[in-house]
Amino acid sequence: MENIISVKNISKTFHRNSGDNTVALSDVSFEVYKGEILGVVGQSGCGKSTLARILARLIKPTEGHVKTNGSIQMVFQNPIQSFDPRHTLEYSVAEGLKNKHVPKAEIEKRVSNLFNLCGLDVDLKDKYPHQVSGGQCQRAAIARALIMEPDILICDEATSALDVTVQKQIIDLLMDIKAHKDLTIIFISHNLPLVEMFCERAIILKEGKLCKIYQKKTEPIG
Amino acid sequence: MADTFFKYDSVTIEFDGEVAVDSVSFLVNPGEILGVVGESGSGKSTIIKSINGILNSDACIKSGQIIYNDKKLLTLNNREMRRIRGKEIGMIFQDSIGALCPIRTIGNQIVEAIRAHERINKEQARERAFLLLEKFNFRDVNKLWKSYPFELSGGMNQRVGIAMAMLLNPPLLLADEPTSALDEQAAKAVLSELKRMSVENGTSIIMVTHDPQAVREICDHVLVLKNGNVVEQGSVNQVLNNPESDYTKALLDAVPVSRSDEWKISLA
Ligand SMILES: Nc1ncnc2c1ncn2[C@@H]1O[C@H](COP(=O)(O)OP(=O)(O)OP(=O)(O)O)[C@@H](O)[C@H]1O
Ligand SMILES: Nc1ncnc2c1ncn2[C@@H]1O[C@H](COP(=O)(O)OP(=O)(O)O)[C@@H](O)[C@H]1O
Ligand SMILES: [Mg+2]
Ligand SMILES: [Mg+2]
Repeated sequence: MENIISVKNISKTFHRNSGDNTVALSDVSFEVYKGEILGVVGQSGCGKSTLARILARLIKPTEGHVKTNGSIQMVFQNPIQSFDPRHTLEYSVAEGLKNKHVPKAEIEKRVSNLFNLCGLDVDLKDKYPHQVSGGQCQRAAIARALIMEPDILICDEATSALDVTVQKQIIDLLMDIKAHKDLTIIFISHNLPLVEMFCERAIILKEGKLCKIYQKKTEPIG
Repeated sequence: MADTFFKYDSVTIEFDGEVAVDSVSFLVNPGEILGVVGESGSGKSTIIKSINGILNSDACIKSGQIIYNDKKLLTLNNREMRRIRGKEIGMIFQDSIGALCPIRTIGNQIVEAIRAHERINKEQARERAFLLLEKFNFRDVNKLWKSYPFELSGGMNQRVGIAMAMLLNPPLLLADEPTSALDEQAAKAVLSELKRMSVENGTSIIMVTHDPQAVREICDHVLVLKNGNVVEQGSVNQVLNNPESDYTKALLDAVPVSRSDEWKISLA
């Protein structure tokens, strides 16, 4: 199996203003296989988001290193807050492409395609984030991530703020996208049934340490 | 005590001419927990915000009354509402990080919040806060106390927001999906403290939730919303055991996604 990410002995210590240190991750190693859906689970505060931010290169690990073979985009827990309230959904979804100087006609085409793919009505293009439901906003957040055509999508509790009916729709959407695109997904969640349904493997973090790797249909390995 | 503790009376709210809450009525008695359930966009958050007077200016309250302890909340001015918010009507937000001050430590802001409403010294405030925080499944409360919000995880901030609202001990507490960012164990700890608060202090709680288990475990009554309308309401037993509509059944039917037979993940 081809690796798309390989995480080698990473640790992350946060030095706090109070002088306390927090070891958010300690000596974590694992591989992400190209094309898989990998679950990352663990109790609140165990280091899931810290790991996600390291993988997305938003922060640096204190020790160890991450080798990545592709581009990464992230989808966060609170869709409405992850959008700039001053811009329409269409503007925000297209923004990443504008920064890359993609021609206007091409941008419009890709925005339309993604609104379509993500199950968003075209008349939502002109709406502001607070004017749409949480589920619609999360679909737009997924569209905004996918428009950059990443190889890897990290969803950090992307369904937790949504009600259960919408959670299921977002999972169905991700599965549908996965069927159409060559995408690797890292799915962070505290919802075990959802991870079991959606993922093929899962790593369990406990107080910053990797404590188990599960694979569908097998006993825990590693 | 007032005749009616809390009454939401035929309230209609529109955004841009579109009805978001359509002549909704319900009552809450002292010490009762009302669960508010409904699909996304059904008006749950709009109802909660209208009670606390924090709807934004796009919202237009067309008709109805909200009565708390004989006061008509919709007729109060900003200053009067500010006096009620927090101490009289507490609020647990869906996104607690927004409710916390980014540049002060958790400990400082909890102590200050308590002391703004009550004449106790810092040490007493700290003691009371620790008693509650110790129950919320934190690994190290001392460390938490000295932290800034940005130094905490999403779930840790959510629990701090909940604790802060509870520590002011308001007679009425509004909670908009209070446990959505929490793992099962932390969510359980929070729900049981909310229940204890209502039983021991007589706190009334209006809780929006998408967790049927939470409704079953701590609510007395439940209000079911769809498209801004009340589909049904009644005691939890009545609504859970005898739902009138398929819509309610689907919402409250156990779990949306059940455990897989192919593999079972455990956090232990
Ligand atoms: N910027 C920071 N400064 C200091 N400490 C931090 C910072 N970010 C995270 N931490 C600490 O690192 C630990 C792990 O946090 P992280 O956000 O990774 O947890 P999480 O598993 O995502 O939790 P949740 O399920 O609640 O979102 C926590 O103890 C947290 O307080
Ligand atoms: N600030 C706003 N501007 C315009 N429409 C809004 C605003 N807030 C909510 N709405 C609309 O009101 C309805 C109810 O929303 P909300 O109360 O947030 O639902 P819930 O909390 O049940 O998901 C939805 O149709 C939503 O799009
Ligand atoms: Mg997190
Ligand atoms: Mg809501």
